[in-house]
Amino acid sequence: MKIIRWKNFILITSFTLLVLIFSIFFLDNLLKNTIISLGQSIFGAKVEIEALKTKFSDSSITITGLQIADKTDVWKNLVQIDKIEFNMQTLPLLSKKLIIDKFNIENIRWSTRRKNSGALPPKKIKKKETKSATDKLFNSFKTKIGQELQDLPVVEKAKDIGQEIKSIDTKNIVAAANFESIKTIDLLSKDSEQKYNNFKTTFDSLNLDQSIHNIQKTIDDVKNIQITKPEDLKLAQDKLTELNRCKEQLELNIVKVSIIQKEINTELSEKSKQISQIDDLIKKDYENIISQIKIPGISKGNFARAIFGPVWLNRVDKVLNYLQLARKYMPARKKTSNKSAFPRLKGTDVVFHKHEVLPGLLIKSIFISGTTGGEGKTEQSPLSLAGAITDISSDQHFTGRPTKLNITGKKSKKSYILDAVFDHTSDTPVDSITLTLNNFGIGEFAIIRNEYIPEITEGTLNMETRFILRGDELDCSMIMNLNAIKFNSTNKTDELGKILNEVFKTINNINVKAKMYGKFDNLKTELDSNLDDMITQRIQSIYNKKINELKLQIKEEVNKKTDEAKDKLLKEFTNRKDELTKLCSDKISVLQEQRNNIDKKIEEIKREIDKIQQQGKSKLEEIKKSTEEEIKQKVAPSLEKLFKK
Amino acid sequence: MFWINLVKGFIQILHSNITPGEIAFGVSIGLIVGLTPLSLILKLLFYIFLLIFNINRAATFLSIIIFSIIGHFIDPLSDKLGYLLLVKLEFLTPFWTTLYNTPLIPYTRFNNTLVLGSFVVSIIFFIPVYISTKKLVILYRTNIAKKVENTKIMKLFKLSAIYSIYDRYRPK
Repeated sequence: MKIIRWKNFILITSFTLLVLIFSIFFLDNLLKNTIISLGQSIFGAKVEIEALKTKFSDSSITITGLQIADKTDVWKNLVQIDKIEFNMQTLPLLSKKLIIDKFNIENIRWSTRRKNSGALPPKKIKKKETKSATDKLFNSFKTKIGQELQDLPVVEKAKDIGQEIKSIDTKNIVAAANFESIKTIDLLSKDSEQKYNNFKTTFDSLNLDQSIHNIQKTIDDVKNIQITKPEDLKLAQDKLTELNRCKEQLELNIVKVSIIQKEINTELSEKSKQISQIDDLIKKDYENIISQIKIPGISKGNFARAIFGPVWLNRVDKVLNYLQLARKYMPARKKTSNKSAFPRLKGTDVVFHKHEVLPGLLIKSIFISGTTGGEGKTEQSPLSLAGAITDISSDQHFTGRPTKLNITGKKSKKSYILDAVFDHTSDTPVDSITLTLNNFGIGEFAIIRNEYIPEITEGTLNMETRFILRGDELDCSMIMNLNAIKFNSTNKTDELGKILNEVFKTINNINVKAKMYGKFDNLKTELDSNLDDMITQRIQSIYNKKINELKLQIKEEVNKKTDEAKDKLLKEFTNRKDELTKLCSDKISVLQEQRNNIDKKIEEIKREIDKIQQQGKSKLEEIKKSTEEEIKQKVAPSLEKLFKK
Repeated sequence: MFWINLVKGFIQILHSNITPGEIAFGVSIGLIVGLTPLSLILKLLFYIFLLIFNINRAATFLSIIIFSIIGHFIDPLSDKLGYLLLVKLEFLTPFWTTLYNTPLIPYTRFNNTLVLGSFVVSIIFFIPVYISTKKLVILYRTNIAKKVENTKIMKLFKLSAIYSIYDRYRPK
């Protein structure tokens, strides 16, 4: 039995030779398609290559016109490179090892505009491997970021504040409110009426009019008395006694009236105090009504998160994609481990490590040149960039060094510095990326994309972003300063839009600080900006005005309701107070007048009595004298005779 | 239709003049190729091997189809076996490491647990499948072939265009 079909053998050998020769001639196309296919599976978007040339003499490959589309924005390129040139060591290729000594990338640019869509047809989108620990970690981060994006506040909620304020019906609210002040006014009114009636009754019970009349009569009677002779003295004394009695009565009445007057004054003073407190009660009623109305608050922090949040989170997501690639193709391992397992879609690939044996991938250095400009970009003075990536290795223990990237560009005050270190030489991989931009035009960055934020026409940007992934712990931050900003107004005609247009006219600079840190199951985000303070303060001042107007309206309604009752009470109180006060003072003055009259009369009578008494005394003296003379005359001769004897 | 053609092909081989050894060898080779997920280059190399060496292509291709289907069901088992061999059995690591760093060998993807596991399963079953296929073919031809030959189905197969093409190309 034939073991070998020699006819077939010769045919196949010739055919194989033809295929080999064919492949050599068409190797370029084959490689190009392979690279495109590989690129599309890695980046999930279209990869285009203008031309690919291989050179067997130095095992070099030159790729021109490479465009890798951005799967998140299919009309833009993630990266566009004019020329890639590298040469590989041939022998390691037999062992499926790609060792590249020199790698040049010329004129790299990013986010350039594409002429066609970079989306892959659904058939070509390969199912992504998600089994490895690295894939799981990064998918968890992305899920968390996705949740954060969904939880971002919506700027539009702020415009509801105006609507909420407008919808408050002050009349109904005041009508339904419970007024303590009005109740108090009613009570005071009733109480003051009662007290007034009591005072009137007390006054009436004194019967002062009658008493005054009687005293006046007595005074009048006394007026008619003539005290000319001693015989009139007794009458005078009687009248005097009567007058004194009237005076006593009068004094008593005066005291009584004074007491009443005092009581009235005390009562009036107390009532005045209570009435003066009505204003406080009205104020309390007003404050109660205000406290029951839910006047919407404007909290700080919503705007910055709504505006910058998506930008920040999307950038973090993008960087995480790069970090995921780095961890996937330069996996970390323990130095002592002799093998590493990588779950794939089918089965697990096991990589066997050998000390000082070349790794599966080693690119010693990549020299990069590029620009920040490009098609579709509005940058006025693009920056030329240059730099290098060193020690890209699928096994960093072979080189003993981390992979480092440094790309810089500088033009007068404008500068661009990108530094990255992917250190997988220790047990815990540490990946860090730092990007520092100084004095870039704001128009070059799609920073703010929100219908409420006007287009920035001028301004400069300074930004420092830092991403560190230590093991499975993320720590990233961004400090961004936008200076000398000028805005175009938006077309928004709603209240919030108009307010924001006003606010942005006055804004010259915006500072933003953002942070994201923690493990994927405990990821925290912080975002702060002076924009919040500015917008919030301005909106607050505008809405405070509206809120104050609302409060004034409520106050007017409250005053409308309480003023009538309060005025009525005050009027009644004033009238009663005046009436009682007048009554007391009139009575007192009448009584005092009477008392004065009585006093006068008493004095008069006393004088008359004294006069008569004086007259009598003088007469007596005269009679005494004349009697003495008579006696003297009678006695004197007798005495003379006595003494002459 | 696919299953009908499969059965038809199988019966045609059994009723041909191909030696049982050839059929059995073809089936065993088909076992290896059907079970093991090979890369494109290896599949091409295998096809060349098939053309050069005197192996029954019909039996091989039929066997590839059958064992590919069976392979889907035993893939988890193969994967576990591959994992055991590549990762768990430490004494084999130096051997694998040497193999991994030998030129051309990495292109076989032997370091994939599914590939190695499936390959080892197919090697384990190579001889048993060969022996049992050979015995089955002899048994069939001795006891059952004549009865099947006279059935309506066989007559239909013979009449079909595919049978005529097969008849043209089968070894005589």
